[in-house]
Amino acid sequence: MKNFLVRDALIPSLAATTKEGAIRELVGALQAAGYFRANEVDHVVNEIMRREGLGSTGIGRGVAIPHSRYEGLPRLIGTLGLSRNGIPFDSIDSQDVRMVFLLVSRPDQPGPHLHALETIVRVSESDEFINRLMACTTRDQIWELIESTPDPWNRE
Amino acid sequence: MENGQPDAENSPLRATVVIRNPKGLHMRAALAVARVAGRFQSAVTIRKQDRAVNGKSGLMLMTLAALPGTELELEVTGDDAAAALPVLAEALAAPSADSLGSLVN
Repeated sequence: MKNFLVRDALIPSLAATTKEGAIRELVGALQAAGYFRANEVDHVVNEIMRREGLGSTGIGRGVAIPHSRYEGLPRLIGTLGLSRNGIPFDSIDSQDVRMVFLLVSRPDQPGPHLHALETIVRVSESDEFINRLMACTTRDQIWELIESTPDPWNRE
Repeated sequence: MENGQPDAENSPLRATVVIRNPKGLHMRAALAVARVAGRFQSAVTIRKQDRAVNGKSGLMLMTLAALPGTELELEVTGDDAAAALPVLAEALAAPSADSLGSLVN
């Protein structure tokens, strides 16, 4: 995950209480970290919301992976926001979402996006990982956990 | 099976399918394939090299990270396997998640 999550854009406690609010907050954090221009934020948020309209990316267990493709990036980037109160997300198990992994990938690079999805699905299945992640209260703590968690597909 | 004789109806049926979606088996495509698989009673296993997952789980299908051009082995076991195999092969080989609509509904 350390290969695609942007450390400076991690949010240990999302202020947003809605799906669109959380997505806007996370895209804003990527923008603040230098990955988008301020005038690109609306477009990226709208593209991610358009994708949500095709079917929620809330995969259950309190995890969602909102995502979109965007031309103007050097590589796949992502960030992670934690919600203390939970966010309604129309998830497949109807649970509110507490961990939002947001991904923006290059249209011509499906591989990194698929590997990121694989990694997030796999770590989400670990109760230990989820408990340790939700215990993080600072960006540094989240990053430490991410750095110490190997990408499953890298082991092959 | 109870008398130890092989049961023809429960022999697995297999097909090799190549991913043709240029985005690979991404989230929406994986969830759609799992939904199609869930319409059948048969057990559905999908293999990529030495890894096998339950084809009725969209999340497990996502862990295959199947890129365009990946060869997957589809294995269907159960009473409706003969009906399920071609439908699932078509779903897995669909060029886009949008073209799965008629199979899903």
